[in-house]
Amino acid sequence: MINLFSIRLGLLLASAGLLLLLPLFLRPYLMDVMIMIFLYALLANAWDIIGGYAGQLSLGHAAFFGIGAYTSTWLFVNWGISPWLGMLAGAALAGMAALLLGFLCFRYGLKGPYFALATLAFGEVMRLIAMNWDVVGGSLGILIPLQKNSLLYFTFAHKIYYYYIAFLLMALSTLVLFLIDRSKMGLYLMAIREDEDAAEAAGVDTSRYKLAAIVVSALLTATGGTFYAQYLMYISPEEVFGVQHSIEIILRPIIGGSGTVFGPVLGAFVLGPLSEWARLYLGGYSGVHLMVYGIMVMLVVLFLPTGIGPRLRDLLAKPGRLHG
Amino acid sequence: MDKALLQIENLHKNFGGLKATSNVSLHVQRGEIVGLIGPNGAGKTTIFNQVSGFIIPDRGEIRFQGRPIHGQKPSRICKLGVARTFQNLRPLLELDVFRNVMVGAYNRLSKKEGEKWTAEILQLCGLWPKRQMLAKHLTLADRKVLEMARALACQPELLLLDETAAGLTPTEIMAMIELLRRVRSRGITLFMIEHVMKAVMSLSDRIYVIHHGEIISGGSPEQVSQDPVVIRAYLGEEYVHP
Repeated sequence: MINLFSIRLGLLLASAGLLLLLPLFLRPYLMDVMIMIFLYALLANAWDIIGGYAGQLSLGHAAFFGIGAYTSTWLFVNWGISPWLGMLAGAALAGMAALLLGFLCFRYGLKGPYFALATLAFGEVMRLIAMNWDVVGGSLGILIPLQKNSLLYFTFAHKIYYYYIAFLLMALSTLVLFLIDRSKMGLYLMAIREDEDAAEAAGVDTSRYKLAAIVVSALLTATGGTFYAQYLMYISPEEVFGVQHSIEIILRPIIGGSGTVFGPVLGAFVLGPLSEWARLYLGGYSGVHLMVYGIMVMLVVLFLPTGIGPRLRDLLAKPGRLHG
Repeated sequence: MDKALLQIENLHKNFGGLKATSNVSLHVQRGEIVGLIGPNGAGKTTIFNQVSGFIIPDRGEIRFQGRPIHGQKPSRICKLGVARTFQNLRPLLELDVFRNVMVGAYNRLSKKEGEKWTAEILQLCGLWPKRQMLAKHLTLADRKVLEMARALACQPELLLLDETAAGLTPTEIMAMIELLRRVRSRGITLFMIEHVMKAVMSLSDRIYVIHHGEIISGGSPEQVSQDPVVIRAYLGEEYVHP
C-alpha cells in the first residue's frame, strides 16, 4: 500500500511539474485547449462533491456557474469592482442559492430523479431570468470592455496568466476534494449515496450533510464562472446558464470516475481533447462532431461504467486484489 | 429511581384504515434482552420504525432515558443512544467493510478514536479479516453481522435488532447467539424482533407478543410460550408440551 501511495504521489508531482512548464512551449491555440481543460476540471471537481460523493444528481450546475459569472461581471462593468472581489461575491451568492435550493429539495425529501428535475428547473429559471432582465443585459449578455494588463482587474493580454490561474483553481479544488474524501464529511456523503436510510440510522444527519455538500459545490462552481467571464470577456445567458453546459460539467466526473478524488480531473483531460478533436476534424459537417463525441461518451459509459479512474486503479492494484 | 431505559405508552399508528400499532405500551429495562415476536404483518417492525424515528406515531409517547424522543429525526435518536439494524439489510454496498462500520463510529467519535473503535468492533464481530472487502461481496451471514457491527459502532445504550437470525443456517444462528451474548456483556441493552424461536427463547429475559398491532401477551419466555392466547395466534402446538 505504501508502494501504491508513492507511485501515485510521484505521478501527481510529475504531471503537476509538466503542466507548470508546458505553457512555455505551447501555441496559443493549444494553450486555450489546456485552459478549458483546467476550467472544466475545476467544475467537474465541484460537481463531484454533491453528484459523485453524495450521489445527488444535479443537472443544474450551470446555475451556480452563471451566478458566479454574472455577479463578478456586473460588479466589474457597472461599479468597477475588482473581479477578484466579484469572485468572492459570486461564490457567496451561488452558495446562498444552493442553500435555498438544497433546503427546499432536502426538506421535502426530493430524491433521485426528483432532485435531478428540480435542479434542472432551477438552472432553466436562472437562464430565463438572465434572458429577460435588462439590468444584466438581457439576451445579449454582458461584454467586458478591454482593459490593459492588470492583475487587479483580472485581465491579461497574454494567455499564460490565465493558464496559471486556471491551473491553480484546478489544483485547489482537487485539494478540497482530497480533504473531503479523507474526512468524516466524505464518508458521510458516501454513506448517503449508498443508502440514505442506513446512513440516517447510523447517526448521519443526511439533510444537513447534503446541504453542506451542495453549498461547497456551488461555491467552487461559481469561481469557475468568474474565471470564464474574465477569460472570454463576454457572457450570455445561453453560454453560461444553458442546459448543455450543465451536461458538459457532469460528463467529466462520470467519464473519469465519479465519487473519487482524481476521476473528475482525469475525465476533463480525456474529454477536453476529445471534443476539440471532434470539432476540429468533423466540425465541417454540421452536428457530426457532436454525434461522434456522443458516441464516444456512450462507449466509455458502456464499457467502463465506474469510470476510467477506478478501472486504472484496479489495474495498478491488481496483484493484491485489495485496493488502497 | 427505577426508570425504564425505553418506555412506550399508548402508541398508535394507522396506515389508512389499517391499525399498524394499536395502544401499545411496553418498556425495556437497562441491561435486559427483550424479545418482540408475532406473526408476519403483526406490526413489529412498525414499532421499531417509530422508536428509531423513521415513522412518526399518530398518538402516544416514546421515552428514552426519561426523555420523549418521538418525532425526532433518526440521526438525532441515534445520537441519543438508540441504534438499529434493518430487517431488509442495508449494507453500503460499494464501500468496504471497515468504512461501513466507520460510518457508525463517527456517531460519537473523532476520526482517530473512531478507527480504533471500528477495529475493536470488527474483531468482536469476527469481520476483521474481511475489513477490506466491499460490502457487496459479503455472504448473507456476513451482511447480517455487518449490519449489527455498524449499529454497535454507534455506541448505543439500546440496540434494536430486526430479525438478525432469520435466514441463517443452524450453525450461523449459534454463532449469532454467541455474538449477541458478547454484546450484552458489554452492557448494551437489546430489544429484538425475532422469528427464530431458538434464538429468542434462549436469549430473552422477557418477551412481548404482538398480533394485529396489539400486545397480546408479555412475560418470561416460559410464561409466554405457555400462554394459550399466544399459542393460538402464533407459536404452534409444539411449544405447549416440550
